[in-house]
Amino acid sequence: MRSELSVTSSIFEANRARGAVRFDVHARDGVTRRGVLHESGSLRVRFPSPEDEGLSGVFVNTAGGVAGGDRFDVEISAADAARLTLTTAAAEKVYRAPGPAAELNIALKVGAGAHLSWLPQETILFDRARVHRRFDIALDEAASLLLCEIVVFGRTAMGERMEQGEFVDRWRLSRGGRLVFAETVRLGGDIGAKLARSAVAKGGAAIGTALIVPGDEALIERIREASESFAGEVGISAWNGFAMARFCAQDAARLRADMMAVLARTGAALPRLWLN
Amino acid sequence: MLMTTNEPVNAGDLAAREAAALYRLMTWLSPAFPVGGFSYSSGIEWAVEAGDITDTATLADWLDTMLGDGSGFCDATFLVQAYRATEAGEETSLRDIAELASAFVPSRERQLETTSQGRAFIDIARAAWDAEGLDAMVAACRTPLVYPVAVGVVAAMHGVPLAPTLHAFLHAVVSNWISAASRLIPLGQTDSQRVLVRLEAAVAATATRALSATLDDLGSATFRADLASLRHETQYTRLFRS
Repeated sequence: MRSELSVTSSIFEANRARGAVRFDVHARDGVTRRGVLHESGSLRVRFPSPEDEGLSGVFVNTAGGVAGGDRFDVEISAADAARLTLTTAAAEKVYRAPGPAAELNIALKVGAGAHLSWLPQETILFDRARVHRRFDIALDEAASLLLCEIVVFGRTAMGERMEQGEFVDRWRLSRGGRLVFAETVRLGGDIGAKLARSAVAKGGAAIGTALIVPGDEALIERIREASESFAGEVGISAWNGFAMARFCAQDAARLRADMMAVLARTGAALPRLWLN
Repeated sequence: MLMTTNEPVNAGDLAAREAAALYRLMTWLSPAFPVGGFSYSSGIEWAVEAGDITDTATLADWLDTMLGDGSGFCDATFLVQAYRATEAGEETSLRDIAELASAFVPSRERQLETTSQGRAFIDIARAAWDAEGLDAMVAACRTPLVYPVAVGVVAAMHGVPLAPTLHAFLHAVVSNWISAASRLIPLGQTDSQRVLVRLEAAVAATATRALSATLDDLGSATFRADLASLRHETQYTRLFRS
């Protein structure tokens, strides 16, 4: 019995996806070019023809989603004066995981005068999904960043909800070597009951964050002008040299609309994939 | 013999030790200790405005979440870690803890709340409740100490035991939340006490978890409580600074 179990678990282990993407970009004569690209496993990045200034990359997960025990590592560096926009070809689905949690590690580095836009489509957590995600972002004092992340607890469009599982989302942002923002979101166990609580999501199933560096009062005043049109709840603030908008909504569609209204006020060029 | 304040609590016999620890904790974590806690609501003022907190039941539920799944547990963990690093004289770890704790806030107003209370706590400790080596330990952090870190450092320098310090800290935080709410919703004095009674077990459970937690166990999920502290910034009429 025991050996049978261990055989099953080693097959399970062997079937887990591993993926990694690592590259850097450099600016020369005002044009951003990619250095050596390291790709492995089911995670790929494509560079479609330039939309605007700078370089655009699109992540493709050929495994079609993330399952328990999967591990994906992303490591990207934008050297001084480079401009890079990254998105994903599709919403990332994290499936039900009977075994160990999936791990997603994202390390982003942005140099002086460089800009990075990190605008993936939403991450959808299926019921009983288990995932540990980690963002380590190191910005030069003179770097700029636009980052947005949306997490949806269940396929709301299908009437599904995440009831159980685990979601740990660890963010560390440093600027000029100083830690300016840190957060760990931790939801586990009876997630459905927790999301129902008033101080958590009051039954909402989607959360989101937009982070803008540098960000100040003038910027958040512009973003607040969009307040009238929000379908969900949005809070906007600036401190420690960055601006942040936080979102909570009943479903993915409402949250996405609010996120786009905020991004529009920042003057950001949205990837074409976002507008489909 | 009466102890002077720069004498650590663990001198003398057991009764004197316990008496000194209790005396200091009741002073430092009393609403009368002038760190200005009365001017902050941790976003509760917005939650009242939005209709999320209307009575004892909704208040108790909101605060229970903030304790177990929000800033209550995180601040408790920072206090424990800062206390232990100070006690062990590990200046580098204390600096890392202080830096992380000061970045670990969800809004500008929460940052103001925890930073100004931490600064006031350290200033008053230096002026009236000094302990040998406190200045050097604070200087080693190279970053302003947020409130839970300040309490952990001062308590450790005074040799006041950790568990009662943590309990007294969480009691002070919860009492301040209730006090803020009682100025915003019709909540009688007895109702306020009833909320405190309802949260007694949650305070104990949060303290127990924080005592065995590491910095890797930090975590919160109070999305709407965080939103409340963000949205409070533009609230039209306000009594509180957070």
